[in-house]
Parts: sequence; structure tokens; C-alpha cells
Amino acid sequence: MDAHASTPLEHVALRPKDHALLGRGGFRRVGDLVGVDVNTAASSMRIGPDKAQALLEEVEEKAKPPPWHSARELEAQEHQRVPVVSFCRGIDELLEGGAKPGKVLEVCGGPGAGKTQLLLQLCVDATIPHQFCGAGGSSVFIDADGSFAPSRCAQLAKEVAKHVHRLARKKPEHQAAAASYSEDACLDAIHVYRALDHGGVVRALAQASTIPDLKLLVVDSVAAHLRTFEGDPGERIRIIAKLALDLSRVARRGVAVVVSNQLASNLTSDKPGPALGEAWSHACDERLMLQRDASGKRSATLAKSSVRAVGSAPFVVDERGVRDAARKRRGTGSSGTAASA
Amino acid sequence: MPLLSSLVLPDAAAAEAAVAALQHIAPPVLSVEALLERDLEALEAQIDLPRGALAAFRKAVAHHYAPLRNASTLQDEEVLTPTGCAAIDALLGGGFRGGDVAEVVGPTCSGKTQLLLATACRASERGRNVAWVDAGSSSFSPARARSMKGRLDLIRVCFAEDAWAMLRSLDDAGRFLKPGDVCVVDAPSRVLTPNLGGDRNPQGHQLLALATRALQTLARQGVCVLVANSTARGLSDGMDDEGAFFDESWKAALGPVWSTCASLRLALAAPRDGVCRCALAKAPDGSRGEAAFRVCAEGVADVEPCDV
Repeated sequence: MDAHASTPLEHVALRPKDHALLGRGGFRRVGDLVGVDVNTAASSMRIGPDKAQALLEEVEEKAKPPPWHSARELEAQEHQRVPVVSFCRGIDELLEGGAKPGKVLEVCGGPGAGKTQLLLQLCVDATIPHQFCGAGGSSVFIDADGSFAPSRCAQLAKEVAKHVHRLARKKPEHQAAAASYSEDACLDAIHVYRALDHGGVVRALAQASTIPDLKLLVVDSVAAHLRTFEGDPGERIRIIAKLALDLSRVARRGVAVVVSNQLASNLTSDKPGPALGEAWSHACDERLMLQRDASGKRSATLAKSSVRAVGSAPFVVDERGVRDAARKRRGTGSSGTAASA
Repeated sequence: MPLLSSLVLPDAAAAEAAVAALQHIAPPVLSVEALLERDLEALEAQIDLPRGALAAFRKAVAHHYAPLRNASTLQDEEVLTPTGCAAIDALLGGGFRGGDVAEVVGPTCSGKTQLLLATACRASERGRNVAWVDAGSSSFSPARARSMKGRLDLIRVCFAEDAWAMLRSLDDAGRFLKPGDVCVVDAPSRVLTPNLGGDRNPQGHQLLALATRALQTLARQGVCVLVANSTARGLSDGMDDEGAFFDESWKAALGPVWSTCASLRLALAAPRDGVCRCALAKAPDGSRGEAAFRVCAEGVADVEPCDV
């Protein structure tokens, strides 16, 4: 007898009318259907035998509980997963390596804070080969804001390819890997979906699971279509909850998920907080807030994390992409832009 | 729901014969619940056992599984699961109790996951099994459990992608957890909210009820069930006003129907200057109180007087 024979049939994800049919046939638990004759079942449920057969097969397939993993097994799996770096050491330190596979990272900030730049940088960095401490796979950019600029992406890819080739000169054993990596190879591994409405984002998420070797999925931004949602607020909460669940499902497969969010005025405090409200704030595992002060200096603050306390780091966005803020030159006493972790 | 074949009863031979006979009727009787629900006479007609054998077996199962117990025996059998922070444990009367469903609710970043992880690690240190049901949260961090000195070989994690998967995981957990073990569910609201309300979701409220029942069944087996819950904006209308403890305007997600599921509710507040705060909003003995704690590398700990 299968161990899950005592599972009630209500715990199996079937259509409501299928549940009604099974109830009519007097079947309460999964075990009640084991070894039962198809024709007997069909007559007790008052449906045709082929329909009964299909239903029995569906129950058998869906009745299994999700598998249990020992925490030790998960730890080993976590060690094998390579985070996606951002090329800014300060930000990578805040994130303990970079965007972690299996977790959802939210990047929040006002207009011009640098969210799209950071997301683009991560997309490009996800394609860096394993030999050079990269994730070595493909990335997906779901563009809900219309912010994806192919020329900027190409510029970032060119810089990263140059960086990889520079590293390869010091490590001749990885020459072959570096030779096959180029700006074009990098851009080939980045898949862009333009989502014109929220339905587009959901469809793109579903399609992204078919991309082979996916290491990073980026959504820019989740707030784009949801802030202007016209419908009852209950429906909006359901849509947000479903989106959070879908993102979590993609992350579970070993993909680093990074989403950007806008700022909205907070009813409870004076400072603006992440948009989409309370329902969304629980969705991310980590949150990075990007700010730009009056003099133009940018900084990233870790506002939510399950593994370390909050902190912040400065960064810059230049023609090469997202990088560390310039260190103070030797010999000068100016404080410059030292990291303020 | 324990399976009949897994019970250890005094008269082993008779029990084995009865279990085997019950497995071969149509539909087969495999679990304790199924046996206790079905009509005894109808079953006796279908089975080929000596007279009175089935009745005796049923009585033995009922006694073993749902015996009438003296209140003082219940108190002796109580298993407590402390969190590691003396202030919170004092608030809870020693720790979370096996046999109860306890809900930990609070806004984002209030320390819910850390508190649950710490409790799970402390339980595993004492040799108890921990089943962590991750319902759409991806909050379990093996690295964090390792730094909290939890025994990773005793902690099992399962990833439930939707409400039905969560229900099946709870059933499954009931099969290997013993009294005193811990089951953490983080967080039912994430898989239940997409199904609640609206015209196209008739199953939403049924799922809430099924989830409540599954958690309480698990608790009744003696397991310490800890449930995380998120928050929604606005104070609830006169029911459990958790947010009012801290002058913050939030209420627990999933509404008043869900609030009846847990017999103990710990409400957390947004941390201030690195100090997290929690309040006992509902307890079986009606007690109330507040405690402050902080999150550190080894779990949750008391706030030193100089930190305040």
C-alpha cells in the first residue's frame, strides 16, 4: 500500500466538479481508489468508463506529496550554487556573494536610482563562464517598463567580455573557455521579453522555465502594470500574491530572481517605501534600496535579509556599467567615498 | 492520520489479522480515522473474522489513538519547545507547547523567520525531528540553521508550491512526526491568498477550512505546530487587534476565520534600533505580555540592558 493512501481526496488539486464526482462515488481517500475496478468506479460516479479512467489516473499522478529534503542535502546544494555578481564589490558583500540562486531579491528605488542599470549588469554577469567564477548560464529580462536598451546592454556585454579575456591572460588553462566567450555569445544568452501588461509578465514567467541553463531572471519592474491596476482591491491582492508565488516557484529551480520595484508614499511613515503595499512586501527574501543623494552619489542599502544584518555600500554607474565607487588615492587625506557598511 | 499498520497494539497477532482483513475489502480501510468513522456492523459483514474480533480491535485502536485522558496525565506529557531567548520563553510559559497550533504574525522584517528558525534549531538540538513546510516562502536557509547550531540531519524541508501541496505535506508530516516534534509552516497565507475571494475562487474558503483542520490534526498528535502569518493593512474590526499592541496599523492576513486556527498567537512588531519586540496576543490560558529580543548569529537572544 502506498504511504499516502490515507490522504483525503480534498487535498488533491482537482477541478471542483471532479471532486463532486468522486464524492458521489463514495470515495473519500486516495486509498479508496487503489485497485478499484474502472467500471465499478464509473458506475458509482455515474460517468463513462474512459472518463473514470482518466480521473483515476489524474488522482494517482497528483496525489503524491512533495518530496522531503534533509537540511544537510539543501546545504550541499547551496554550496554548489554560484551567485550572480554585480561587479561592485560593495554590493556583492552586502548580498553575500551576489544575487543568490533560489532567492528573490527586490531592488527598490526612486526614478534614476540605478535599478535598471543594476539589473542589466546582473543579466550580463550571469553569462560569465564558470571558470571565471561566473554562473555560466543564460538570463531572462522581463521588460515591463519599456526600459531595456539593447545598445546599453551591448556596451555592458563588451566590458564584461574584455574583463574575461583579461583574466584569461593570467590563467592560460582557461583560454579555451575565454575564446568561446565574446560580446555576441553573452548577448545570445540574454533573453528579453517585452511585457505590455501584467498578463504578459505572467506568460513570460511561464515561458522562462523552458530556457535551458537559466541562472538569472529579472523583472523590471513589478510595479509597472500593477500600480495602475483598475479593478477591485481584493483582485489586486490576489494578483500580487499569485505573482509572488510564481516568482518563488522559478527561484526554487535554482534561478536567482531579481525584481525591481518603485517607491511609493507610505501612509504610516514619512519616508516613501516600496510600492505595491503590504501584500507584496512579504514576497521578497532580500531587499536592496538604491538611493542617490543631492550631490549625485549613489548608495545601496540592504534593507531585508535572512542571513545578515543591514548595511550599505556606495556604487557608481559609468560607461562600463555598475562598479565600485572610486577608492581614495594613496597619499591624499580626503575621505572620498569610503564604504559606510 | 496514522496508518493502522503502523500502530503497535498489545494483542499483536489479532491486530495483524484484523489489519490484513481490513486492507482487502473494497474500499479498503487503511487509516485510524477510516476505521473509526465507518459503521462497525457494515464492516463486520464484509470481513471474515471471529465474532467480536473486529469490535475488540476497534476498541483497542480508539483507546490507543484517542484515549480519554486524565488532565494531570496530560500535564505530565506536555512537551515544551523553547526558542532560546529567555524573555520569549518566559512569555510563553517555558516555550511553545506540543499539541498546540501557535501562530507567529508580524509585518515584513519583524523577525518571524529568524524566530521560527531558532526554535527549530533548538528543538533539533534536543534530538527532536523538525518538518519545515515551505509554502511559497523560500525562507529556510541551511547556512543560517548551521550558524544557529541546529542539527541539520534532523531537519527536513519540503517545498509546497500551492495550497493542495501544502495540505498533502501536512498529512505526510503526520506520518513521521512523533509527539514533541516540531512542524513549521511558512507561510500558509502565501499559498492561500491567491485563492481567496472573488467570483472565480469558490474553493478559497474550503481551502482555509481544510488547512485549519490539517494543522489541528497534526497538533493533536502531539506535534508542536508553528505557523507564520503575514499582515495586511488596517486594524481588524474589533477582533484580535494585534497591531494595537504596538501602535501600528496592521492586522493578520487571512481574516477572522483563520484566526480561530491557532490557540496561541505571538505578534511581532517592526524592529527599532535593532531590537525586535513581540507580544502575546492570544494564549490558551489567557495570559498576555510583551518581550524584547534581538537576532544574533546563534538565533534569538535576550536584549542586554545596555542595548535598550
